[in-house]
Amino acid sequence: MPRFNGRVARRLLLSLAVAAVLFGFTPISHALLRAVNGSFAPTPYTSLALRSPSQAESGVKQGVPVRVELTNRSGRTRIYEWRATQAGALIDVGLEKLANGRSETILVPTNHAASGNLRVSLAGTDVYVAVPILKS
Amino acid sequence: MTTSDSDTRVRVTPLAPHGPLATAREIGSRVAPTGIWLSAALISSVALAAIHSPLTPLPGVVTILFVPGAAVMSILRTRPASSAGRAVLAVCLSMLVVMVVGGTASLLGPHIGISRPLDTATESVIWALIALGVLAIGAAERRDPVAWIFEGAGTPNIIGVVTSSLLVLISILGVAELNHTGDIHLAVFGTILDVGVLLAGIAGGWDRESRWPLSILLFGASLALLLSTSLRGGHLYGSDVQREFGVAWSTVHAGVWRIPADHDPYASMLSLTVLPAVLRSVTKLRLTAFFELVVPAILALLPVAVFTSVRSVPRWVTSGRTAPRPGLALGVVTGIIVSSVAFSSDLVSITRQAMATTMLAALVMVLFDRSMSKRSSQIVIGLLILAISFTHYTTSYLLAAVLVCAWLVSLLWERGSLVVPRGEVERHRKSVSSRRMLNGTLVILAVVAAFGWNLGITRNSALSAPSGAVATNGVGIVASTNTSLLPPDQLEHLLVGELRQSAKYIVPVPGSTLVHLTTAAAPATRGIASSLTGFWNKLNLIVTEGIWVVLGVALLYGIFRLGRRRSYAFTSDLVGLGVTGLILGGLLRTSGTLASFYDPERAAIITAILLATPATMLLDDFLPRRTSSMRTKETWLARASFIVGFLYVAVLVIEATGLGALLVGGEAPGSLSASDVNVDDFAVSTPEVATAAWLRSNVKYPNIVQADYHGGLVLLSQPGSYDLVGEIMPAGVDRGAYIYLSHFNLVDGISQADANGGGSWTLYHSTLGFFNRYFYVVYSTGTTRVYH
Repeated sequence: MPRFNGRVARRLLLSLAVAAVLFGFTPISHALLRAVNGSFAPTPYTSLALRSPSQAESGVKQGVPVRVELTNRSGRTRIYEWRATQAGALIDVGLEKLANGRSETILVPTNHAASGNLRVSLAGTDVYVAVPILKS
Repeated sequence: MTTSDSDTRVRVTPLAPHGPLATAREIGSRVAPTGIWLSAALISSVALAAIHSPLTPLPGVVTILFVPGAAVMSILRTRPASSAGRAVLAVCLSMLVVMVVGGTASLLGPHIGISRPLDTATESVIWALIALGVLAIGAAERRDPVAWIFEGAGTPNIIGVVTSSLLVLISILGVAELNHTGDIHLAVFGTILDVGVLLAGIAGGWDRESRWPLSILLFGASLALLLSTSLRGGHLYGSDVQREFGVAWSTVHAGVWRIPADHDPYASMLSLTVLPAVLRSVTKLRLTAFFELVVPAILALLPVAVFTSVRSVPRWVTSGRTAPRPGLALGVVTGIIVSSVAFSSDLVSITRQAMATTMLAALVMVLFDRSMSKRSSQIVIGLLILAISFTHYTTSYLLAAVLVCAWLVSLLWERGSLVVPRGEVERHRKSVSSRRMLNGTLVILAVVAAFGWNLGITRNSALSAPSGAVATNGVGIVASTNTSLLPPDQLEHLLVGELRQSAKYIVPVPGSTLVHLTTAAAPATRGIASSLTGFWNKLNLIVTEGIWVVLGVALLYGIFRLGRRRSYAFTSDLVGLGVTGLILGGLLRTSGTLASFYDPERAAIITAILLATPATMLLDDFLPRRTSSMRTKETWLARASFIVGFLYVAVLVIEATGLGALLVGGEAPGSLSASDVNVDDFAVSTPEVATAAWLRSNVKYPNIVQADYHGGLVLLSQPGSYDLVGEIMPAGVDRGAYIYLSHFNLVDGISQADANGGGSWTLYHSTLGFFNRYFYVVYSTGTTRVYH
């Protein structure tokens, strides 16, 4: 049986400790982060974007649907209620269920919209986009 | 059997007498430590990847940043005396190897049919071959690289390693809590602990025979402080680092580094392009992790290099003096390096300069290390000069200037034209093993490397702006740190005038000049003892400016006192570098023209690196020596000098780490505040990164994107083809532009504008009403917005 002197045993212990930290890092780090209520996870958010941002300049003709991209990075699947309004008046409304990390294009009908600004927003948030509607 | 070399004697085992198997086994045993290291790194990387551990890149990164440098030292048969010095040099030389290998592959690959030489497949083959080459050379030379570095190092001090690890752990947890909840308590506790360990190290190391593991503690505390800043926010923290990330990202996605056609200095640096790309390809290191974790770890070696250099200086001295007190050396390094504005605030977010300054500190360390042979040292210095030239353009130019000036001063010193008579220098040369390391070859190499890489090969534009400004305005000897805060209306007037010259294509919205701008106050910390603000600020000013006095006196004392009395203790290299350091720091501190291109604080740290040794020698000479025959008065004097020095360093480090702002109020650093102006200016959130990515994908040239001074930082990390204009004051907004509003602009309702190249600035309430009236929201996350 090999004999271990103090130096070898010390180095072996150190190597084992390093290996334990390396391979136990994930559960240990999760426990520590939970204990201090800390996280390096990305800040959750939801975004709305005009699929053709140049429409803000050129406008959208009445009757032509506005294409808006909804992105969910909130960390969980969510059901969004979107609303299309003009000067506070509701033009259209819809629901969209979206998994985390996914994007979906919403087609907002403008058949009942008048010329002027159309605002597409997510209910209960400050997330919105706007586009000018032109007479057809 | 032993072979002797210029540095040390190395024990080697004789060739096995019988059979090819025995011979192979014997050859293998010659490089067993490196072989075991490489195998362990490979196996642990695979195992960590199998369990999806976030630490998967760690073994690979440590290996690539250590073994190549160790191999270079082993091949050159040289190494610093101390373990800390060896580690610093191994990392710096490894970075050189990675940049040279990746750069060469990028330049040659496309010519031999490999269009993406920085991709994983090609780089894996290259580094596997390099690993085999390292083992083969080690076996042939009978010198194992890993053993060469660790020989005589012994097991690391467990208490030092555990303490340092705890400091780093608490720092990471503190910043995680601050990022997630805005609670600063753990972050403050961690910073107090870092400061406490550094100050305790000074006290514990005061005894000349102290065995405190100061290098490890210095590294741990420095790294903890740096991580508390670099990990702040949802993306990278700081200004320059955003653009550096953009350059690295472009290289990674291109799979090859090319000499930039637009002469961009950032894209010309292998440290920002090839180095992160190779680490990402070979070890799967995330690009953000390179900037957030790897660069701070490299930068934390900077104070260690200076500490090692300061500690080793009196090795030259053969009579009457021992090494300086370890605590004194730590105090000097903590006071002038760790507590410098550049180290504590700037460099962690200017990564190219962080890496180059660490290499510069390693170069000075090698220059003063008398345990390495002269020729080997000069080769290593030459390699570091080359590495700096493609790591950071400005440091490269500065180094060339420093070496030219230092060489001339050292020539004058040696010829007896500068204070010390020639006879004494001659006697000094004969009586002790003095030597002059700086020679014409190194000076020429530094000049050729700086100008050759930056002007000859990459032809980057780094020098054109400052040289043009100096040619137009002269050096401009004024106080260089003055910036003026103007009322918004006044600044708008200045800005519109500037834009008429520089951005004639901007067509403002009619009536935009009529929008009334109101001044906003920068969010700041109140402080727990705000009544002490005046006293603390005055004390701080005296203490900070006092450093320059100490450095100046140290140099003069060295030249006129130590140089005359003990010329053996003050060599020509020391005089040359010291004089040059002081000239450099003084020039950049007083030149208004140069300061607009190169922050005086960043020059100050180079001065500090060059003058740390004379400062330590001065202080060590002044400190009373404790002897058995000491009288009560002398004992009291010794204690008093320790207490004064200790308190001096304590004030410096408390202010530098931001604890001073928490104490008396002010603008706390991002590492210690949830919502101060520094957080608003430099921290980047995930929605902001997403908005920048959306702009990159959806807005193309010739469209214009406008953002305010700090809001636009994140756009640099996701570079698009559009033109970026860094202001959103209504009178300067183009009617067809895309306007980006950051969290600070939108949620806090504050915007910042600058004019006169940053010399004048203002904070004003964001003009949301103006944007809502004349523009449409085309992208929104709730905390960020893009108008068009």
